[in-house]
Amino acid sequence: MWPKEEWRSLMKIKEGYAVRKFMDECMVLPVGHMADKKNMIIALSKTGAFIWEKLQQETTFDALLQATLDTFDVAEEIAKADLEEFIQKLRKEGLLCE
Amino acid sequence: MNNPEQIIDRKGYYAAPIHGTSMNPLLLEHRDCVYLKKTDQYNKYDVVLFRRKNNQLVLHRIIGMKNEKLIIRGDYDLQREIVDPAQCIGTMVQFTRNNKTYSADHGLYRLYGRIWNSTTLFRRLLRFFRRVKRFIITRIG
Repeated sequence: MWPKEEWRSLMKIKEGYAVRKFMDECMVLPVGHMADKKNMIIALSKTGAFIWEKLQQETTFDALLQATLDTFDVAEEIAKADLEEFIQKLRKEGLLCE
Repeated sequence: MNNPEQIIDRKGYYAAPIHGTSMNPLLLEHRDCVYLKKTDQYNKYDVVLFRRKNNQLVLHRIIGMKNEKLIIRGDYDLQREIVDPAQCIGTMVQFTRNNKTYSADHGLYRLYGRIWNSTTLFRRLLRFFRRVKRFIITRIG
């Protein structure tokens, strides 16, 4: 579970990554000079693309969870677990500045 | 597990930003990206990603076929090379230019491939004259 004390800490997507739409699928790729340093692709689901968009501005886990619940018809527990997994994936790839 | 062969086998596609200048002016480094799929059938003017024998990854255009081998050249380049289809990883099905996505199947794009390829002799002459001009300027200067 995402630690409660971190629910309000700010996070944002680092510069040098962008979403490109191929075959109706959104993919995160390194762009600009980041493309020389990093080799990765992340395919985003519809919810993933929504969260990615929100993370272009500084935001918190709390706010992301609320925005997800307001936009998608999903139970809070499922949304929380999926959001946590997605944020951890972004962290693991080093895409977040916190 | 980040090499394109493994990704395309696992996911059925590969996407990557452009490195280098060999596909100028269509695809520019630090700006454009390509989306590739695996295929068994390669056609003239397709843009393909292949691995050279020295392990280098290259994205160039097929400009011909001979004895079941592919004749390949970058749009900006003048040198051609012979590539075995087994060296090919995937063919470009879509690409982005300035953040906008284009399909490699589009008629206008196919036409661009043909027209650009037909300018090779002109580009070769232009490059030769530029070299001569530079030589003369160096000698006079």
